Amino acid sequence: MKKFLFVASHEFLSTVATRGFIIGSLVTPALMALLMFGLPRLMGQRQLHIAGEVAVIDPTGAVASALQDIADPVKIEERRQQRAQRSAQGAYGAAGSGVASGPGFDAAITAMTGISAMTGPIPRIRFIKRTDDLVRAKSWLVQPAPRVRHMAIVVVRPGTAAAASGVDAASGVNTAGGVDAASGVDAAPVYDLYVPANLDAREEAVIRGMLRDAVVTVRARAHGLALDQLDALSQVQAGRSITVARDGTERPSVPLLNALLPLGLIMLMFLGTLGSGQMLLTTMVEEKSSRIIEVLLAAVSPLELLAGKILGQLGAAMVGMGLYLLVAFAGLSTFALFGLVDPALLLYLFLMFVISFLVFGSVMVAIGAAVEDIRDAQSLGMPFTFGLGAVVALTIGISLNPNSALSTTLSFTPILNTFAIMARLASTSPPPFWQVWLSIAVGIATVIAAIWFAAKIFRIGLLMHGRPPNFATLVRWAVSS
Amino acid sequence: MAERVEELADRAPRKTAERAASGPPAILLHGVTKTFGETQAVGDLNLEVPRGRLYGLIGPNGAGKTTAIRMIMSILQPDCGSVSVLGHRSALDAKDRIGYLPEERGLYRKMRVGTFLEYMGRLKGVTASILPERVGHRLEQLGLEQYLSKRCEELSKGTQQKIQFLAAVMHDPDLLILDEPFSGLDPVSTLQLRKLINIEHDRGATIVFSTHVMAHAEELCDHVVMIHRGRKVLDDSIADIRSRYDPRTIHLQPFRADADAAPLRQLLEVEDIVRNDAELQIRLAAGTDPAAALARIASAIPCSRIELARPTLEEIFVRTVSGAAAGRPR
Repeated sequence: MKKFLFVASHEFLSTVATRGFIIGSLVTPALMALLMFGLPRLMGQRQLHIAGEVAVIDPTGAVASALQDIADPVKIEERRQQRAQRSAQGAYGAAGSGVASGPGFDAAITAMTGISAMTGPIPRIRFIKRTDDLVRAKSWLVQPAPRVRHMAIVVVRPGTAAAASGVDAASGVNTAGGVDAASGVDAAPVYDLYVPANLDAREEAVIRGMLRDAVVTVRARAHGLALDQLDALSQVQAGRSITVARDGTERPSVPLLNALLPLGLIMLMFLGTLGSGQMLLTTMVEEKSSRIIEVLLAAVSPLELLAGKILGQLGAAMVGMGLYLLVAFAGLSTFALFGLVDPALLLYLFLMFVISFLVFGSVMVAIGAAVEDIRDAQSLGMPFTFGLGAVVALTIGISLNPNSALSTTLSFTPILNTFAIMARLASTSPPPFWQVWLSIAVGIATVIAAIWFAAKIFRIGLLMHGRPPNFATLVRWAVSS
Repeated sequence: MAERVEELADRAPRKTAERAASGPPAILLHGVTKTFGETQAVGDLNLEVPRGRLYGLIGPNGAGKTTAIRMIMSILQPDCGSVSVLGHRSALDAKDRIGYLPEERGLYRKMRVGTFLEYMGRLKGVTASILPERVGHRLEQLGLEQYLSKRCEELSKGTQQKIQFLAAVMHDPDLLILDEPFSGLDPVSTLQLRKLINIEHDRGATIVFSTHVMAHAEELCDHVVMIHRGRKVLDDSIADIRSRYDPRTIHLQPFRADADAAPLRQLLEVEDIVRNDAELQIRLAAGTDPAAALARIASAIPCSRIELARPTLEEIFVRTVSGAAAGRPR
């Protein structure tokens, strides 16, 4: 066996067979699963228990009465149940055609409707009508209230709440002032809200939601309607969306998947490249600082050592990525969405990952060989790490506008091109073939340049000790050697 | 443990002399020069190490020994001059026949001793199937078999150094290059390592080791090369050096500690006398026959001990370097 293969196998095993790698490889997918499935529940449990009093100054009294009715906990619970049932029925209706079928899909729908129904603890807000002036109400708001919180003061502007009742529903003619002639809806603010400094934004949102329902109720009554009727009228269940594949097969469309796929693949590449690149950097610095490097150089040439290290880490990275992909596929299979991923994408993913790893890994190993302190290594490698991070941050933009000038330019920019072209490939509007292969050619040229650079630095840097070089020195080494 | 090494050393066949002249030199340097920035680490170095010999590369710290060794190992490339190792233009072509213990030693701290030695053996081309047995045998040679499954970081510094030596000889190299092999070792470990070096030498390996402790070279080598400021100042066998640098000092211990040294000063053979506690160090005049001087001094003053002091390599080095400095044009 060639010696660099011994080095590679040692590098691979010493990475993969470590507790850190095993834990890291298992923990990250576990965290992903937690984020996907556990976070909504965790977030739900952490919702606020809202309780307190809100003073209402309403000259007409209509809004205040509606508020008291809407804030009744029993009625809130009833409304929630009705909305959840409507959502579930609508979702089942869309799924029940046989296009999207299977127990996994049904389970997903059930889970989704369950989540939508679960909107946290029922708020316990008591709306109190006040007839005194605003000044006294404000002092009520800020005075300490140890037993019941004073949450807000609502001042309903005279003539605005029921403004729509002064509008002819058919003509939209303004009879009360401040009404938008086109829509027939009052454009002026209906109320003012005074809150104490420590009111949580979520609490304020709940109060505003109730106010909105109360105003709509008042207006609906003016038109002879009930809020429930309005609710029912405004509900439109979306029809099902079906993706027709080139081979004629039909699958349920999942717009979320289309949006998440580029990001997911780029994150996978990013984590694999960055993680293994950092590992190369660390092991290189360790080997240099522990002085084992000279022993190795007595057994293998610098180029064999370089090739072996990069190859070994590439193997370890592939194992890590493979694990992540398995988790992702398992997730997709659970929701009967596995068939939505184009197998060609996986081929491109492999190719682009290998290119990006070889470029980033070569740079990292060169930096690791040039210094003997991990902090120096990290500061030298930071521009490259930030560069990778920046392109990941741009991924969303690239996948939304895959054919923009920026997306196309990044597709041919060395080091960043693999990420950009991968995001475009996974988008809804993939680039033409010539762009893909031109990007691959740019990638291969970058790999050659990076390995050349790394080999030069490697040979000089391995036995260099003392003051750490800066990037200009590395370039000088590469050019002069 | 020490007994085991000694026993092995006694059993090892002595066949150095027969091999010395056979084949091309193990190492041949011609006009090798290496400069780092404005510092010339090695200048115009010529060196020939015949096969089967045990050479000492001596000189103070910073003399250029390590740089010379790294060039021999092709870890560094010379700026000019040529290098030949075991008949090859580069040590890279004969790596599997060379064992190397660098001055800056290192181990994979987390790796187990057995795994480390097997890995180094594999890198040096030893067949995988025979490696476990060989590792066991080598560890047994040093009485270190109990460390087989220990992690390298768990070993003491001295034991780590012995493991590193074993890694260098795991493949039974034809040429063994040891850079400061005794640095940091306690006297017992130093003795063990010296015996191991002798075992390798007796096995037939050519050995070159560098040291700044010249006593080590004096005790171990059959030939020394002195380097000073990157240049070779001496290249000779120990025997020739000893015969060339005549002993010119006599150590004498008079019967009475306060004995008068005046009678000695009157002797023509005596150039200078230094009293060192109860001992007189008598420096002989140039061209004096030491044996005759010894007899005349012994009869001139009653003494309990008198001996002819041989110059140490260190003294020779100092004399050589100061001679070279004196002869250098200003």
